Amino acid sequence: MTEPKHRLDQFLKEIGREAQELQARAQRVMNLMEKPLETEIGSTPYEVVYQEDRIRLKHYKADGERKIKTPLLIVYALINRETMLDLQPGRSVVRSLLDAGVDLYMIDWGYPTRKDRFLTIEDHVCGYMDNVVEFIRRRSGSGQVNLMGVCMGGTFSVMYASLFPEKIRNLITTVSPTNFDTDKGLLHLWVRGLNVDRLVDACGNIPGDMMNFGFLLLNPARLMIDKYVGFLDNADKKEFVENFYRMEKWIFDSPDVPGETFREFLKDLYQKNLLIKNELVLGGKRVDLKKITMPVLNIYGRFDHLVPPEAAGGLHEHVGSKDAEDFCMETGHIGIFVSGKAQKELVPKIAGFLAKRDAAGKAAARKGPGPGTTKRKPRSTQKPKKKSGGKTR
Amino acid sequence: MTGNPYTSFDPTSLMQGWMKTATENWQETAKSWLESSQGKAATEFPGADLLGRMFRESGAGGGLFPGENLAPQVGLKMAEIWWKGISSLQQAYMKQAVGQSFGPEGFPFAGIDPGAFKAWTDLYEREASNQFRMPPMGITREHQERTNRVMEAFTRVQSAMTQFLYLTSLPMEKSLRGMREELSTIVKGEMPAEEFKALYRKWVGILEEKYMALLKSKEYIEVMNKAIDAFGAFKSARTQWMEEYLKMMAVPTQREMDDVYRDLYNLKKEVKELRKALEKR
Repeated sequence: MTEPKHRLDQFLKEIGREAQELQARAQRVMNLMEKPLETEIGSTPYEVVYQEDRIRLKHYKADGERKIKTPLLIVYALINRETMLDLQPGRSVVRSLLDAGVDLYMIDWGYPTRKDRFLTIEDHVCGYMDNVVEFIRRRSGSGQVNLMGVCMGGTFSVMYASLFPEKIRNLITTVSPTNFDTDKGLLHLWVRGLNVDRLVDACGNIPGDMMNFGFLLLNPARLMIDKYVGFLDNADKKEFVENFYRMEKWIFDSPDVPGETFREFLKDLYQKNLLIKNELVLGGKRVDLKKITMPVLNIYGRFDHLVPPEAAGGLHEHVGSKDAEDFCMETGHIGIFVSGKAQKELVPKIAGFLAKRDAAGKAAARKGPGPGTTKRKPRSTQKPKKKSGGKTR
Repeated sequence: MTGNPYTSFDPTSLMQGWMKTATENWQETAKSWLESSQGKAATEFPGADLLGRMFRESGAGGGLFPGENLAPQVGLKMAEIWWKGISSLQQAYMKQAVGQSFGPEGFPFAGIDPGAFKAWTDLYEREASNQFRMPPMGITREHQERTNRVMEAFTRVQSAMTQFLYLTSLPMEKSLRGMREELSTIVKGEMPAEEFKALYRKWVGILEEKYMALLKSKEYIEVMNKAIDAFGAFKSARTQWMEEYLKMMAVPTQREMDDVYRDLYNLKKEVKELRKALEKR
């Protein structure tokens, strides 16, 4: 019976060794936590140049020359915050785009309140987004803008590009669902039989905490247990701890989703899949993907569990553009923006795509705002006030 | 006692005995009280003596009151209904627990037997929900109806959430059971000793696998959607119930504020459209 006893002793010895290591690490963690940590997110400087209701338009200040003249507008999703694109130094899509010479604008959707519960997809796409695009066109003097959407923001961008193609020079969608009729991806399975009306009528806006819990349920083992065990394993490393806290700050910063927008997104898209079938109607106009005739770059992640390749890929087959490309990266939904490897691949791909097509589009920019632009009369052309004989009202 | 001691015990007879004793006790107490107060009542309340005799003699079939046994009989009937239901629920649970398989292949998620949850839901639908749905009467009927709706919605959401949380916890239970067997083989010396980290990684991998199987299953999706639906129904019923009290305190209700927000939204939309039309001219 000596061999089993030896193995048991060995096992117990290892437990003891682990305990000692744990104690030493705990001490290092305490030393680290006592000092201030740099956990700020969204730190790249910007200016708020436009505001409407709860939304703000951020314009990022470029340090160097703007190599791509047509401004780029990034439209983030209504779920979570756009600060993910500027999460930490060295892994900031915003910073990288600025370094690539892009004139960058980004919509901040803000924090919806009960007052916003009746806002629809049409209000976001044909209302806020169109007003922002018009503002950028006037401010920059460019006839068109480049439009880039992230996740749900990409879905909105596809709708916008279809309804207002004359205003968009190039369209980029990243991890954006456009085809919702798939069994891949738990969200697609879960939402199919959901009574959306009951939920929206009861809650008004869908609480951000409820959305958070739902996303955690997608993989409880990794997202609720393993993630924190991994943190404890590395809790004595300053850089790791700071990056971890930044991610935690972002991931649980969930605004509520306006009720009617949530209702339409789930019923018309997830359950009826109207977008890819060209049956979605916004503002009385049908969203026809064939009207997307500008160059399209559609980027998605092979290991994306939220928006699987079956939901995001294949957009190039449905649009009317002859210059449409699908680009699959070997990452997940968030990793495509924050992983070190993806940073070296994503932004160069986007910048290269835009730069190549920017030169071709300069002629269009020189023509000024395209048809359909709302023109404001400059003050000098206003009619002078009538002067009556000595008497004024 | 023959058969399975957990499934063959019927507690109904115990309940009946207790109810009979309690009823007799209260009857005697009521009679004593009436007799002792009769003398006093006869001088102060004309006709009290007559009423008292009618009450005492109502068991013979006469009198104004249907009988002092009525209230205890109704209570006994209701308690019997609940008791029978609870004992059937207990039997269903015991049958499931005794007959459940804990083999190494794990829990068959594809064919989850609702078991105790189904028994509870059936019991509720058969007996309790009717009591909540009985139409109330009188000046407070509106309030009573709202309260009944909240109670019913609360019962449903409790049941649905419990079932949902139970399902969600199953992979944890099964994965830990699998790891217990693994640890025991290490102690017995049948497997080389591994580091804690490797063991943990193995456990997390198993746990993730079991969760992935569960989360895609038809039963889990049904239970989750049912829980969300029940939550929505409860929230709506509770909001309607609270609105009554908010009105009493002159505090605007959510429905009133939503009406204002809807009007504001429509007005803003109209203004924007008018502005665009003006600018086009």
